[in-house]
Amino acid sequence: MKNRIQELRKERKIRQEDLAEAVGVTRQTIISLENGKYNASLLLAHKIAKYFDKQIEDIFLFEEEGKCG
Amino acid sequence: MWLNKLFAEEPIDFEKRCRMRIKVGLGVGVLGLLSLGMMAVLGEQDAAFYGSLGAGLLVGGILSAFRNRRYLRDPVLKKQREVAENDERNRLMGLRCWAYAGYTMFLLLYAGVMISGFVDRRAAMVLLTVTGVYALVLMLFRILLRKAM
Repeated sequence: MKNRIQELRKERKIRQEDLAEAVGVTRQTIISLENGKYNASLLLAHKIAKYFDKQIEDIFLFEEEGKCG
Repeated sequence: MWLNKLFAEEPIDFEKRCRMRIKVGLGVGVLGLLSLGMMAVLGEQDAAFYGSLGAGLLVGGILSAFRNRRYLRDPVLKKQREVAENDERNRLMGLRCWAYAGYTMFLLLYAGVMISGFVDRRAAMVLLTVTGVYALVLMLFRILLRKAM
């Protein structure tokens, strides 16, 4: 699953540490999320969406398997 | 259910956990002291076994109690540790580590039973019993988790 965390964070000039602290995870988790190595739980996705004042689907982009575009 | 507390999304009461670890650490330390005390009444071979076991338990228990006491006394360290232990990725990794280690151990036990059957029947029976108990524990957790999730 792709996400726009890094894009939104840089747009708003927020440091990884600050985002991590705000949503109660480690900086390493934010790095892994941004690199696409780890998929957030629904609870964390909700916290991140709330932090950026967006809907979950605006940040986490679900791609169906085998579907292009 | 108590099993739910292991789930990555369940928050941890860090202070309570630290206090529990201090108590367990001190308990383990006392067991270590008892084990060391047994050295005096045992023969040379047993004394060496209980001596090293006791020293290990004593040092391990005290270190654990000391570390957790430090977390409770230092607010900055406590906050860092609390975030790290509550972090869902860390917790998921921890659970996966146990799961993969469990799979590996089961395969090793199975291989051990197969090989030791040719070498030593008694060893094979011991390994077979351990494998059987392991399988039962695995099944028990599957039943419990089915109810919890």
